[in-house]
Amino acid sequence: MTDSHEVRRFRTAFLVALTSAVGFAIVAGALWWRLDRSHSAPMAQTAPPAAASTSMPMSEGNATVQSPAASGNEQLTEAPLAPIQLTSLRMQSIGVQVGTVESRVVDDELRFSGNVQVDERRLAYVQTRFAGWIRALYADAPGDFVRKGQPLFTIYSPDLMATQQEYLLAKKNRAAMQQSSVDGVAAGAASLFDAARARLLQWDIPEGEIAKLDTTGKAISDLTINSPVSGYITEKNALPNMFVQPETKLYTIADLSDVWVSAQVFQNDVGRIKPGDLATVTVDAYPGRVFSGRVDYILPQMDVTTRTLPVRFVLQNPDLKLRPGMYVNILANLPLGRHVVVAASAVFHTGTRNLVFLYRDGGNILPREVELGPSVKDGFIVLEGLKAGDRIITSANFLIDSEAQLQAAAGAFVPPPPGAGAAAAMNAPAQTEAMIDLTTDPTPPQKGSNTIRVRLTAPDGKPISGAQVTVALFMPAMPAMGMAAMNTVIHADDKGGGFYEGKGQLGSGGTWQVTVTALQNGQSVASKHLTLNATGGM
Amino acid sequence: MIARVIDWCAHNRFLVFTGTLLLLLAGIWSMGHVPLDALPDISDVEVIVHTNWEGQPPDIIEDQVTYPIVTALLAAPHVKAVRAQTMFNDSYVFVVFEDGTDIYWARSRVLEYLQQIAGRLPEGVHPVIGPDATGAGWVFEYALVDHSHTHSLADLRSLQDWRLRYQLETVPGVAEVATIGGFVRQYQVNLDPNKLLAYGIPLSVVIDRVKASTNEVGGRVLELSGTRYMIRGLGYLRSLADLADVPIMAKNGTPVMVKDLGTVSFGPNIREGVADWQGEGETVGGIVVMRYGSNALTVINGVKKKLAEIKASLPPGVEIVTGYDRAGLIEESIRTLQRDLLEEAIIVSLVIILFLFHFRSSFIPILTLPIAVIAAFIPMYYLGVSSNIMSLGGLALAIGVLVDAAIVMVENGYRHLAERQAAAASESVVVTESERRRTLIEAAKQVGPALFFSLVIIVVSFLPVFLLEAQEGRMFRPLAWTKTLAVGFSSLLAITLVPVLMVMLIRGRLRTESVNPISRITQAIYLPVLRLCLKYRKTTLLVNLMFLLVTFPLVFKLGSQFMPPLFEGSSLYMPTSLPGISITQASQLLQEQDRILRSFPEVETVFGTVGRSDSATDNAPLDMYDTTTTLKPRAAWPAGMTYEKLILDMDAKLQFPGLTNTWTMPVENRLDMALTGIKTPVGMKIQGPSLEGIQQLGAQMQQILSGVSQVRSVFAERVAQGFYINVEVNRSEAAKYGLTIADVQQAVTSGIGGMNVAENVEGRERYPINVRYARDFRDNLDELRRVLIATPAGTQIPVEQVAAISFSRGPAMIRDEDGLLTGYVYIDLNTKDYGGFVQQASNLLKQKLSLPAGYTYQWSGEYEFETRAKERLKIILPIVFFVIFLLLYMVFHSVTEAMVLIFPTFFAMTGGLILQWLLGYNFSVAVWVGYIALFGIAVETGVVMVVYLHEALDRRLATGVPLRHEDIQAAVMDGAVQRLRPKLMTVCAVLASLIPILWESGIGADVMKPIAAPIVGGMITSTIHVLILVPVFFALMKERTLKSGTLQANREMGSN
Repeated sequence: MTDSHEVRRFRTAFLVALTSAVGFAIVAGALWWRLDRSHSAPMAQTAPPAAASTSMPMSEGNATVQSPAASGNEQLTEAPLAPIQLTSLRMQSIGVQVGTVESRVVDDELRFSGNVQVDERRLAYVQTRFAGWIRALYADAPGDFVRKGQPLFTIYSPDLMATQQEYLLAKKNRAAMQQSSVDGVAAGAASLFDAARARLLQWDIPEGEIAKLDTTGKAISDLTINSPVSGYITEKNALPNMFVQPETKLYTIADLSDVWVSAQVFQNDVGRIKPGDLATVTVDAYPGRVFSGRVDYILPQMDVTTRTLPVRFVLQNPDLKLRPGMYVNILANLPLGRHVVVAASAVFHTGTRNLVFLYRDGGNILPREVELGPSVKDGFIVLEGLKAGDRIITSANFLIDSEAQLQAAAGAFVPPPPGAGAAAAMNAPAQTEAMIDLTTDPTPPQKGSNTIRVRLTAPDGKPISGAQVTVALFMPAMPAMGMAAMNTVIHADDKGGGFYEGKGQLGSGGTWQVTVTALQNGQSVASKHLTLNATGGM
Repeated sequence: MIARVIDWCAHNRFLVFTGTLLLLLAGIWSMGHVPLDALPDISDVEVIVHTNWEGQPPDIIEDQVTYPIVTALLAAPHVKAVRAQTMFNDSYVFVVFEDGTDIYWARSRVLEYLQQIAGRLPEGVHPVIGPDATGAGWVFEYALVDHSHTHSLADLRSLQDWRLRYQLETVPGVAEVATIGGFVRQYQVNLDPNKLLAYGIPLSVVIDRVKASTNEVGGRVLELSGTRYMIRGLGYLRSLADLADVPIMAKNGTPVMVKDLGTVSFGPNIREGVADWQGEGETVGGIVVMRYGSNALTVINGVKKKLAEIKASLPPGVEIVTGYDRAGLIEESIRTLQRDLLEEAIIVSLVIILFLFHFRSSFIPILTLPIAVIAAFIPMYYLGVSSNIMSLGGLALAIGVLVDAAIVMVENGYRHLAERQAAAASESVVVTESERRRTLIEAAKQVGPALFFSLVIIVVSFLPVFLLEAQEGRMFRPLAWTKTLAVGFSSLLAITLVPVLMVMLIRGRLRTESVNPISRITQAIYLPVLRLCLKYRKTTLLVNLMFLLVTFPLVFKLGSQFMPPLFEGSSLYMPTSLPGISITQASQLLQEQDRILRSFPEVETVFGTVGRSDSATDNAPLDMYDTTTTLKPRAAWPAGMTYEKLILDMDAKLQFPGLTNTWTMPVENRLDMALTGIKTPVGMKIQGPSLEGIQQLGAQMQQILSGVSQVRSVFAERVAQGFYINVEVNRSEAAKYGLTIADVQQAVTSGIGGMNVAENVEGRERYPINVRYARDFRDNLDELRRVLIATPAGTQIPVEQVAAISFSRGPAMIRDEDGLLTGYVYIDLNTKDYGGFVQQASNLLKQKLSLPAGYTYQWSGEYEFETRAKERLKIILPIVFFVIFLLLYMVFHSVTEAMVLIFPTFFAMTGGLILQWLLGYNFSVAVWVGYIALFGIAVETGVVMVVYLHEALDRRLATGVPLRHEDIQAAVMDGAVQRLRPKLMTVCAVLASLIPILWESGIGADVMKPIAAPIVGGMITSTIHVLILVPVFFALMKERTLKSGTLQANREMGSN
């Protein structure tokens, strides 16, 4: 074996070893790298205990990021009110209806129950002013209807007989003494007569009976008592041969052409009702029939046992359908005057505030916080936030609110291009999208006018011309700063060579969410989300 | 030893045939009994504890039910994780056990632990454990369609609940039949509070009276004249009128009955789900849930048979339509794989026939192929491995390898005999029968051990796949099993059946290899190339190294994912709204969606549901839609339409404001939801002490991450965004009326909420009886304020006087993982590079997010599996290499040779990478499994080459003449070129066998292609490497040993 052989042998061996080593190293390195990339990313992140006490200083971090601990866990911070834009097709898909805010005279409704009662102003007792025995009883059944003047019963009263005798005597006496020239005799007899007559009248003897007494000259033993009023006998105590004393209630006669409804109003509703308010009354007995009445009187005292305040309604009762004791449902209409009213379906209660979605042309929808007054029939009174004539969305509020939150969260004002759904991409291989480079003049952009340049290159590196490039800038509302959401859409013009340029105003400094979309022949060729930090104050 | 086996078998034909026949019969029997499914069930061993507490909001259920259950179960043995989800009405606790835990054992443990806390739960709340099934067991869904429009939704629901359900549950393998949609009929007592007030009857009295109004009792027996009469007290409600006449109290002998206080009617019970058929309107749906480990196809067929039986007895006009049927997917995918297997077998057969050019000889490997495949089913049956895309795919991968041994053996026998015949012919004698037999057996014995060993290499190098754990393990173990088993059987057959068949079939006039046209052509091409390469060795090495260097950067261009998605033939549209959507609104949207979906010409049927069914395996909140769209076969689609394009089109048309669209496929989704609950590949789980904090943290993350360029959409769950109306008792006010908190709350539960106070029995059916205020008296906030409460004084006051009623936000759905409150963030990426994104996002979050004390977040989703699988692969791949190296060392007893032979794996990988890149497949576990399979095969071909080279060299050494430099080269040329045919045959068999998979477009191909692609691509480059580089290396090595004077015959190959 020569040296050259030796050398060549080593060289060959060295080459073999080197080739193997290099190859092995490359392969092993590549495999390791592939597998390793995910590993270096921490799988879990745990809060360092030190972070507990240190809340993040505002100057150092991003203003929009606040620690939940700092803002407190008790109250949820609501998503900022972000405007959204929907195409008519998307609105149609969820059945969006647009209504108008009206200013109209509204009623509040109050529902309670009550009892029909006799109108106590139209209630009469039948009693005699003297004691005696009932002889004949004409009105002999409770519930009978009696007209005014209709005889109810006859009564024999020794007292009355005596008084009649006295009266007749006085009358005779007066006639005898009339001619007397003795001074005062005639006058005395006349006054005696008058006194006797007055006594009869005081005992409520009808004039007719007295007249009859006058004509017959004979005391009437069975005096007929007539009904003082027209109405129903609601109570009858009179029985034949009954001894009647002045305190005996013989009949109660009620006039039911008007009735009272006494309603029990709960303490909390008392303030809303006042005399004169209209009410409709329904009774289960007459389904479909509505009686109308008005608040007559609000009684001064609460019922301690039921904790309610009686309120009296007066109702006409021409065909006497309403019977005392009947249980009725009352719906009081409480006029509130002219107000801005919004349909109940248009109000979205988020839990911490009430939202109404204003509809503007072009599918722009603006959430607006409103302050609501009392609820009225199928609507609410709006105290603040809306004016008559505003166009609002009256259906599918939940979805609109969700969309607003989703769009705000995504930081995109422009609706996502079709096909941006989650899974489309899960399965599809990565799309070959064009590249978008965005520059601004000045750099960084400032509050006020800016020129925005976009460079569009195809994946193969060639510039793309003839595309429609839209740059949408959006800054979410910052309720804490009292700032509404802002958005600017810039249409960049084709400058050739894949360059596009457009001018736009930025309303504020700060972080803007930017969405650049490029369309070619109606097809999206590229889109990009990025953020721009603009200088200048808020 | 192996030679002895060959010898013995060749002399005991009958026994070998009997054994083969028995094996075949057992295999065929097993084939018929192995369960069928589309994909292996990769879900965890999971027990679901479902607690229904009607009418209760999530936070109340979480505090009083879910949390106690979760904390109790955390301590149970072998529990890996406890996840819980609490929604309105329902609490679900998912207890995940360690892999390999017996499900029934696990269920007993859960019951045991539930027993412990039974006393701590609120009255009337009874947790039940769900069926022994998972969401992945939803194999069949149907809807009831009423063409006559005479049956109400309540009627259809009754039909489903009381007739269909129980009949279908009798089908073996059905764990549960769940109902979704429609109305549960309910006896409703709608009270007028004003009347209660008027009569002075408190609500509680009505409830008590109604409760006591429906029952039947027994009164033992009475004997009368030798007959035994059974006494019973009747009292079930027979009609609504009976309910209306239930007396509540009596005043002066006048009874006050239910009808005096309100109305009675049939109405719907509270609903948590809606079903829709084709956008035609609401309907009632049924979901057949398959028992864990059952044969999906048998279950579905059983269900269909049962439905056909029931069909005749359905009310006129009512039809049962299929909403989802996994049978199609299973049958299609099995059919695809079967077709592939058949095509592979045919192609492999053709390759063999072409190369051997002798039909009878080719018959030997062709015959052993099906025997090995069929025999593989025997252990499959006993191992409980189901027949699915993965296990059949394992067979498909193995086919090319299966015939290797037989091919080489037959080829060797053929060649020896042909040479013997040629030699005999030149001496003009005829080879005698006994000589022929001896020659063949000798030939078999010559290559037998080496072949057996190379098959062992293939098997052993694939074994590390068994080390995959959890989901990926469950997914790929069936494949590993079948591949290993089939190759194992084929090695067994190679040393038993093949020698016997060789003796029987290789006979007659045989042409020598030089006459074979294929051999001649390939040799004519190969010879000059090899000569050139041997001449310019360094250039050859350099070119190859360059190739390696150029190709490997492809690694960085490819993305990675957990599993390639399987096209299932149906799609699942799952838009999500924010929590709090009302069922009416949800139902409206559902119908609109279904109408749009149905308008696509590719769509066969649309079965939409929103919310959840009454199954414990269904934990969808009301804001989640679940619309199954069965697609027509691809042939019926308009030209040029692809699934991806179709989904894009559908997505474009279904842009509903307020909804976030998700498109997935039924099986994929059920598995994803069951495994992590996160629908997107990457997600985050935020844990912390308060839901509000979690929501805010989520919102901040959303804001931070939406700026990252890879993010297509990010959505943090609004965990705290449920809508609540709070009735908050003012204690001092209530005290004035002598009311306790409970009194006021009773008004909330029974007056507003309405209680199902009793259940009426109607034959087989049972319906709840509900008492509540009439709708007018509780359907707006103003009316709610006037719900009356009876005070102890006997009066009734509106609730407003003692409680404040207000709107607020609160938890919509509460997730609880291992006892900690949790919220999810879903991130949809426009890149496949999860790892890079996660790293970037983590840094960003670290910078911008100040994490409050007690809050943690972690990355999750499919990404979690991918990470875990990668971690595991980092262990597996070195093991694979080490095992291969060890085996090679055992063959050659030389580290250098083993090193040289490891090389084919890298060259194989380059080809795999190129093809993977060309086809656009991402790295996934499937691809890695393909590579692992490839390494084994590549090494095996290399081994065969080296064996032949050694053989040629040994032959020259055997002559005893001292070898020269040129002799080695000549020996290399000899070994490489002369034995080209068997090598090309094995390689072509492997390559050709996988080509049907690559061009396959049927269902199931999506999963197989990424496994097959690396093998196909790799085989091409590794063959080039084996044919050119191995001889070059070999020559270099041997020349070196020649120079050092240590060259001698290979000990290993010569002996045994």
